[in-house]
Amino acid sequence: MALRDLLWACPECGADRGLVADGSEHRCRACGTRYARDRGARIRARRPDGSEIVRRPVEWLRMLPDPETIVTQGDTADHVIRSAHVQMARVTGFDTVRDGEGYLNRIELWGEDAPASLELRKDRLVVVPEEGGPESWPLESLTAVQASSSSLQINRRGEPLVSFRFADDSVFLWEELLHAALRDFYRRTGLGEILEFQPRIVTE
Amino acid sequence: MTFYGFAQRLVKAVWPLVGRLDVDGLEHVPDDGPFLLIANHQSYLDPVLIQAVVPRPMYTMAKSTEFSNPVIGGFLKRLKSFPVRRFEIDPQAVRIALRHLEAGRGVGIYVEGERTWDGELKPARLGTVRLILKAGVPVIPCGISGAYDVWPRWHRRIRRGTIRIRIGPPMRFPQLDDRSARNAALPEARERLMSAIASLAGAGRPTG
Repeated sequence: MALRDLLWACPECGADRGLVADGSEHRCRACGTRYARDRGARIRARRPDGSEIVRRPVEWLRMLPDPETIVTQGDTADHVIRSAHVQMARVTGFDTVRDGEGYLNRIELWGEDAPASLELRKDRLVVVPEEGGPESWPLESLTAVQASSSSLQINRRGEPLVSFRFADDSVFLWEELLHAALRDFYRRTGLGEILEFQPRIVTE
Repeated sequence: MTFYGFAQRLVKAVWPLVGRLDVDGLEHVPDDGPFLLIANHQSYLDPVLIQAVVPRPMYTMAKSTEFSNPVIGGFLKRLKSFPVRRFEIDPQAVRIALRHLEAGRGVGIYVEGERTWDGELKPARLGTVRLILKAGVPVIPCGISGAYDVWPRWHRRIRRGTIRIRIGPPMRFPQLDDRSARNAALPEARERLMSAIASLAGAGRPTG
């Protein structure tokens, strides 16, 4: 995980995917502002003119576009809200875990990573593997969404769990966008107000 | 000495090299009988430090994917963790938690279900509140603070700092065997629980 997972755009100039790692700092390739972890979990920005500002992460995040607003832009169902290159893996089976007292649970066994592109549209996710045809997953087929350490994990009705690792995008943003897109979709289609996304999507 | 006891001693011995640990309220952990310790989740350090300082062994849920690696999985089991599948309703994890409670043991759960990205408190997972209402055992609220400053989710490195663990007096929730009664009691129970944890963690109201 890196600072650019949190600050998916430059809070100073708004450049999307603007931050690139530069030594122990991150630099915005659009405006040149440099970001680094300051005391504790505070984040310091040093602008090209030399001025500095230190804020808490939640304060920086308030300066970024609101995912709830991003997902409502675009008129058609085909509107691409965001796309990214990913490594995709699917659960291929399960193993059992036991301890001295017996059976504890079953755990997922993951298949090989495969490169793909992932698109979030207004009413579906489109996955295009480098090898194989595109897959379209309607948002109503998703049953759970969560970012795990460095990947986004998605469960679909009747399908194995899928994990996406992002090469050049923020897993935090994707989780927020997908939550917002699902909320928007559920509202638009009268499915209700989502209360939580995990372990399954629950509505009021 | 058990592996768990050894790990507790090791963490207590090594942690001062990393930072300060300020613990308050251990007297609220019952000397015997079942309990559910419910805490917020700021960093990977939370379970390590909380289990190191709580005097009684505590069984904790850990995400199932952590058990995929046999070495880490074996280590987690020896630290009394059991897997929970987070992407579907997982009755087996609930059964294991209830089994430990019926055996008079302590169970620890991180109520937000994941580490915070921005340092703010997140809403309680409904499943945890349902478990509280089904188990009917004393609930020990626990607030951890400072761990996000030491090791935020978006950074690879730990930095020196003070982590505070505040344990509150046991809370009582009704034991409700009927599912509809549990559902009806959920909002108030969730509110009470998160108010207590927010107060202990020195945090604001849950966001998100």
